[in-house]
Amino acid sequence: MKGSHRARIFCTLIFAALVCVVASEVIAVPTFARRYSTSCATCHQAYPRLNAVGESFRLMGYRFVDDENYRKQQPVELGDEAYKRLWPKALWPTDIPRNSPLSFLGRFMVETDLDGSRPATFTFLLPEEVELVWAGNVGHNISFYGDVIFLQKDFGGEEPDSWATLKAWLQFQSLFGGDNKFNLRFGSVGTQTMGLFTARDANFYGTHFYLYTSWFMPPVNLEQAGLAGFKGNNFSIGPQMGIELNGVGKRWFYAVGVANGNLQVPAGTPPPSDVSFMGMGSGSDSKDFYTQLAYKIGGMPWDRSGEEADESLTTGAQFWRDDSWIFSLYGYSGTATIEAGYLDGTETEEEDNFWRLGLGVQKQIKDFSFSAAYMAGSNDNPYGSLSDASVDSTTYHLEVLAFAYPWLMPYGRFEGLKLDMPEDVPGLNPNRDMERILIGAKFMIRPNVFCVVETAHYTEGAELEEGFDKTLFVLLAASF
Amino acid sequence: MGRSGPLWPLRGRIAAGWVTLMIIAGPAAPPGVEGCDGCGTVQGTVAVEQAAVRTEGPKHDLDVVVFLNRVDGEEPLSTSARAEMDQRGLVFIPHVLAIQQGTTVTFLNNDNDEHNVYFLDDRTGETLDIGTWGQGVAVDHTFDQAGTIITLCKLHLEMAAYIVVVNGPWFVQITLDPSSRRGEFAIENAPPGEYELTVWHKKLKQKGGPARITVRQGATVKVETVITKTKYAKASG
Repeated sequence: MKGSHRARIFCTLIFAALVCVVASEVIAVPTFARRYSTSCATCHQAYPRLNAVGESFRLMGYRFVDDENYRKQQPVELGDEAYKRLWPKALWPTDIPRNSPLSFLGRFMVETDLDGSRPATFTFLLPEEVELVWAGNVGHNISFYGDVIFLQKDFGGEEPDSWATLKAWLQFQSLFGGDNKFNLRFGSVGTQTMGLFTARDANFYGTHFYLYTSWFMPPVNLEQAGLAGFKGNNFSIGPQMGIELNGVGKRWFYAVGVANGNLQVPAGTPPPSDVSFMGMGSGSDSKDFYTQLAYKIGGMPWDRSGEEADESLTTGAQFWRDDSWIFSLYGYSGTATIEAGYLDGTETEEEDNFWRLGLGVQKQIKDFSFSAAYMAGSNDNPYGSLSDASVDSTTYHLEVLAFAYPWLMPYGRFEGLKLDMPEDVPGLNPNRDMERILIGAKFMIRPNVFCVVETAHYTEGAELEEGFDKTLFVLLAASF
Repeated sequence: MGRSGPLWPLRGRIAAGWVTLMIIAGPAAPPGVEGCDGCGTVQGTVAVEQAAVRTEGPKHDLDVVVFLNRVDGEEPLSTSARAEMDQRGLVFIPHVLAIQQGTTVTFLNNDNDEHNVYFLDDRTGETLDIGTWGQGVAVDHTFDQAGTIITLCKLHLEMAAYIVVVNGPWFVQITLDPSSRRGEFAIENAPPGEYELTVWHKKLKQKGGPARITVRQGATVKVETVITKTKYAKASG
């Protein structure tokens, strides 16, 4: 029953749900506000988007420079520091958070149909998501993060569904070569490192994630294709299970990782079971690889080097400002198994080798932030036995954000997706190009409560996003 | 339960037994210093800069020891004084204990649990385990050499205390004011001569290193000192 329900969703809405809000990232951790007894605005321009202080804090493994100067909650020692000098004849000491490192976040959404294309004029997703987040440090050189996201998706007013996804990672920091130059992360890798540094879903303002991170290879219509089942390449840019090496310096950041790949389902779609770890891949000997590089010119150094301790939390009177350029590069190379099951009982299994390469830039100047990105990609065999054709893809976006007031941020984004689809695959619409404009405004009701009003206008491919073109999204979110 | 020797690189002497009551309260007065005619006084302040200090909990960072070392070739002075360190509620009490070399410290156990006393010489890294004992038992150890001895309990890894052994009677232990992170000190009865004034803190360092001072007959020398993180302490000043 569940399977047919999901199949119906995929057949009717294709990947409409994917390009809308997907819960892959939670990047507001009020636990840290408690640890330092400080406002969200210390680290966020307007949460979840980080300001320069918060970005440094994240990159440095959830620590400020001279972190102990700012902590109001002292951790519980699991051994005195002196034991470091006694190692290997003693346990290496560490500490754990004094209080529970849990935070709670809630998102409440109302979707309003503006053109009569939805079954209902108003769709209440109240709540849309409830999120439980834990993050912190174990001593100086281990950090951790995890979240459970319970979410309800309406798929454009057509089919409701709800499920829970989990992520968790553990990171060993500063393995050698100085502070945070070589950090090793295990678990749900790619949290903030899948995709371009300058265009991270975790750092966005609105309700729609970037098109370049959320699209995936369109699946075929089973009925039209005469298939009993089909598993395509479900890759989209989001956290997966794997191992990542990352590091940060004054002006540079890198992350390289190996991920399981071969995703069972695309991120943001109903997972194989109601509760699943995000980015679960089917077992395969061929792993996927990715890298994220970034370089910053001007503004606050990521490692805060050269600053006096007392300046560590200082960003100036306008806490959102950080006049700077950031250039970023992202690459992904992977292999997915393409499985097709025919009505006569035969089954085929082939491999699809694919890659993505993107460039991004972000310019912040006073109360404005501009972002642009371009990503190209290619899949050599995304439809397996159904077609020999490869599929080339390009995505791009331009984005501008502004601080009209500390509590009001209008923004806009233009983005597009071009897919060079094969014509010969039964049950597959070859016209998948899409362009859309998102216009919205974010209202910070409180430092930890915001409202976003956003509307999407599709200039191309509106039919692929059934129920999302000319829809008004009103999102209320709070974290504590 | 007798405990004697072995003598270890820290050159201590240990003995055990039930102890008679000895209380050390507040800033330790330099033991064995008699008022002397013509001696001077060293007064001053200690301030924390560019560093956080933990102001609460059994292992707070407010304890500071200020001491003088003669630099004019005089031999270090020893003492036969006694002091006491308790283990109670999984905490060493006091957390910082300043003593003159030669002082015998009695280590108590007032917990309904066994405790261990394990020394780590902060300078040399040498260690000495003087034993593990239960409630009501006390063990003496004499500290014959100046230095900082980190005192640990191998049964309870979070427990730690600092014994600051100085080589003369001219020292004082103070507690910083938690809000201002400053403290005042006065070391009296210092004979005229050349000294190095050292400010000891378990985590922070004296900015610019020990201060060279001259004590003149009957005079008071005033010194303002700063303690900070090691990376800032290296700066001159």
